[in-house]
Amino acid sequence: MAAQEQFMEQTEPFMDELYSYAKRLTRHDNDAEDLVQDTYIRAFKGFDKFKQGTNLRAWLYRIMTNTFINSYRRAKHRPILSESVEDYQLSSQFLLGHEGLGSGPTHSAEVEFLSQIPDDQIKDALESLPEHYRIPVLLADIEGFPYKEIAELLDLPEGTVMSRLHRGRKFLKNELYELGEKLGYLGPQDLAPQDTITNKISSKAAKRKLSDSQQPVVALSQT
Amino acid sequence: MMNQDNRDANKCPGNPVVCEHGQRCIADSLNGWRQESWVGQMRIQLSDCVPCLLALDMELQVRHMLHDKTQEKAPQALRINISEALGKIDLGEIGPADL
Repeated sequence: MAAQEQFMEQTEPFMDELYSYAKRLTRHDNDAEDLVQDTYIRAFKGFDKFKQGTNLRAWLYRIMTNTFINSYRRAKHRPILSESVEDYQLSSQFLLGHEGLGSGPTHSAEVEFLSQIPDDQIKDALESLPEHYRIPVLLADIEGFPYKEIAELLDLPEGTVMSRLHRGRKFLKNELYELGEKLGYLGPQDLAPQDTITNKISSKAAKRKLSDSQQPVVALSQT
Repeated sequence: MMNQDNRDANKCPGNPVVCEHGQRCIADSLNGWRQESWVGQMRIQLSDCVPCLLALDMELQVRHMLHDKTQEKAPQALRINISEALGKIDLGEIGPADL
């Protein structure tokens, strides 16, 4: 019993965040609970192999991710777009657009509109990302793992992680901005048809440059 | 201590997208953004680069917001199930074949 107590004392503080991660991975309440339970059982059985003093959080995430990949994924494999590392450099770290930044107050409205999107719809947006992009985005942008740790955790080269992150962030930006438009936080006038998200943001930024003092790009009054 | 040449080389052109120094610092900061001490160091490096600092702060705000909006509490029943399952392993009531 002492082993169980020692294990739970160290791992229980991570249970809520692991449960949240499991929900985003499996997209089902019951599967998420099963995944957390499997993760804890596997971790407990392998706890004697865990080096005390190293990163327990990363170790648990690794077990959960591998358990998910090996046992839980239901969706058929979607083809992965070619994983060129050439295009991830510019702006790949941004979840917002920063072209034309300098108009601070109006730009921060983009953050404001994101804050007004209901939690469930943010979760849906994340869960809608294809799995190959969803896992790196969850680990990097939601859980805050460094890219090198994600590469080790997923057993992938860091360049591949960066490339998937780049594409995942593009997907997520599109999802969030489309949500913003659907919920009325962004007007159709802010989004040029057939635009990529970068262009959408550029278009907004260009409008801001023209009239910083006119009506805000996002309707902050709507909740 | 940063010399004048380095300061000039790092001078922000006023837009994070074309500011190489800003891009590098933002990328570094977001690489493990939940480590506050690390982000603090990066913010100091951007202290002369206000638009880039602003861009970094907004990116951090978005990540904190997404993180907070997606956190859920594990159900109490799950905690009990895990505790019971681990207890059985501890007592040798279930073996690897049961898992």
